[in-house]
Amino acid sequence: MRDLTYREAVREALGEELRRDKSVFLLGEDIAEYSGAYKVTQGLLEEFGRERIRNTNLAESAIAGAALGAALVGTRPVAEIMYIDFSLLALDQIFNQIAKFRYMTGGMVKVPLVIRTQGGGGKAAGLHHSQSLEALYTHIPGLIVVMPSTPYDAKGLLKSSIRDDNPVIFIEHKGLYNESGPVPEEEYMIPLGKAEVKRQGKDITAVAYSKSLLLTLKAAETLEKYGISLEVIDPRTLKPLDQDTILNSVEKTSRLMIVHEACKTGGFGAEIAAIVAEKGIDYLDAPIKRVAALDSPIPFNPRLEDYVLPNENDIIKGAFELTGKEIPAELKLG
Amino acid sequence: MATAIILPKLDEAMRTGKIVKWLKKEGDLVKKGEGVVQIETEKVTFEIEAEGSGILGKIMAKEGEELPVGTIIAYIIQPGEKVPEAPVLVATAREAARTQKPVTVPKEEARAKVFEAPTEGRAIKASPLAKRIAREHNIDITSIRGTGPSGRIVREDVLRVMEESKIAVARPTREEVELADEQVASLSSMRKVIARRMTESFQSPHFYLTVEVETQELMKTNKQLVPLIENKIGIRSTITDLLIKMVAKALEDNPSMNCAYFDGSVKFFRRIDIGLVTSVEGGLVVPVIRQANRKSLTEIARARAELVQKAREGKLSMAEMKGSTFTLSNLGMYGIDQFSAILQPPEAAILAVGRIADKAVVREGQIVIRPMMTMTLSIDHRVLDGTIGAQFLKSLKDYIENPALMFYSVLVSP
Repeated sequence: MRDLTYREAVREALGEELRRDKSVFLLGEDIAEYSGAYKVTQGLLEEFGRERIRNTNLAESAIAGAALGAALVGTRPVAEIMYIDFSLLALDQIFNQIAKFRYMTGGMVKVPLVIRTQGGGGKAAGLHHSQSLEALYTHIPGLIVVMPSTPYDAKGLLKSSIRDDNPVIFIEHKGLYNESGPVPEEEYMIPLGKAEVKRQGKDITAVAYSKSLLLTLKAAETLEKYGISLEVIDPRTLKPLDQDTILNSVEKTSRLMIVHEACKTGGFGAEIAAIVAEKGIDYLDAPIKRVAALDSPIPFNPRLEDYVLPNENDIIKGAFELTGKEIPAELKLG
Repeated sequence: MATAIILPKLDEAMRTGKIVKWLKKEGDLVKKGEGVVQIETEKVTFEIEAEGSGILGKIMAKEGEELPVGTIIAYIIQPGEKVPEAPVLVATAREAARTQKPVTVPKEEARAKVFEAPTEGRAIKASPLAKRIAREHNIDITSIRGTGPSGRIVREDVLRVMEESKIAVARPTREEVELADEQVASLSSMRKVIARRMTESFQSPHFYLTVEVETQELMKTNKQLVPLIENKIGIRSTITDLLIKMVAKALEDNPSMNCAYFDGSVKFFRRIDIGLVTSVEGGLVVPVIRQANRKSLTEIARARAELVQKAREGKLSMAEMKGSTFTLSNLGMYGIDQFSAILQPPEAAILAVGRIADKAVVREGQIVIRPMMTMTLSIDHRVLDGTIGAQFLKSLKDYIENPALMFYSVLVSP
């Protein structure tokens, strides 16, 4: 199977859906000639033209509002918000209008729109370009929240998101765009709301998504050498969350770790922890462990940023804590 | 506040108790001192009484269920109050720890206590999974040493304990037993103890000494004493009472007989406490007549009558069945000529007594008819030999055949 980057996989999903369905169109800041801040939409203008690949002015609220209006009259807009940090400017449109319209009308209208955006740190992009804000969106009823971690998932989930009749917040990660992975050439879809076990294990269930999943898989390899076996689960869709896959795994391993790049307090990990506490407390042989960013704005200084964001060593340390084993000195976790 | 009714630990050896019958229903008013539930331990049946008045809230143990000591089996609540839910397991664990200390059992009647549900104090640190496994297998979590982070009891610890104690072996459910064979009945707690102890006992090397004694004088003595004692205390003394007294005297004369084998050593008892095998419905129990050598026949008769009565009613306390140093089993009243008894561990000897029957015996070259009785002494050969047993039987035979000798002591103070 060929490998694609995460960026290419997203682009391919957009292209395929634009080609398949004339009602699909893109809108966003600098997505046409400039191809977007992370070059995701490169080449789409040439193929689909200015009518369907539309630049907007620098106004997130207008982008969201326009997308909603377009969705209500029968198109399937895919809006790009350049940074999730900027999506805060569009929150009234997203929370009060997009999320509620279908409910307000008693189901008379559908809102088949996707807001693509990207978040996360690790690029020394500063306090306003590095946040992980997914928990804001999972809190609002009426929104589907998708956060893929691999090129394969990104493509399959974006196609499903575009075809879904409900508003989807599709959160990419700026640190994943250059990561590559196998993506089949034939068409496929990944259903929303289905988690995937990315690695089988028996000692600890580690739930991780987006870029944190890659960190967790790497940590799992190291841990395997020291006799700790991680079962790594990627929820892929945060809302609706595939609780069964997580609970079944916790039942098997009896320990739970959640890894995300968002700050710990009020992060989505708290929700997963609460679900397991509510429904699976009797499976647990150790306290639940959250590995997350410190409760701090993401610093500009790269060293400070590294300090604030969770890394592989934090996951390894957490796993040793959960199993009650001594951390071997040779690991030099600091 | 809600008070928990806890399965008490009446005895160091007591691990479980069986709920025989709830005397109150959920929602019933319960007065202080009223019996709430009947519990059967390995040897005794007793009633748990309410320590305070209130409403019987939730009953948490079914009739017939066998539970570890320290388990909360019900709550007594006040009107409008709710049965506490969350702290149950922790409470159980802590209370069990409390009851691990030996509890003195009142002599008259075994009484259990209703403890206050604890509202403060430190919880046992155990993972929810460890607690669940312990709960499902009736394991007292406080008895487990935690090896998890900061001493937490984790799954592995519970599994280790299960492995060690083999509690993991699941008892067949009633359905399983019924399916297997309709004739199969589960053993009562008492039968289980009998089965276990007798199997244990039979592993020790027994040997037997039998002697025939003439009981003319014994019967005469008994006949003289019965009306005297009956007039005094209203109890008819029996041949058994006389035998208890005589056995006690023979043990005084032969102190090395009064011993027990304990794990590679022999323990000699100073006290002479005679266990009396007493048949009850569904099995047998062995209440103990304390210091039988120091008691008068009247006192022995009274003690024996009380104990047998309690045994028949299933009201013996654990304390009343513990610590005999020698046991007497008399099947004479059932017409048995002679038999050999199995030792009552850890005791080193038990005397089996058959019936008194007229027999033709030879006296001074003449065949005469005499009332005869056969006694068989079972001995643990690890600690006792035939000669000691023979000397003991000789002493006993002398007392039976010539009760006047009871007043002659072979021991002379220097």
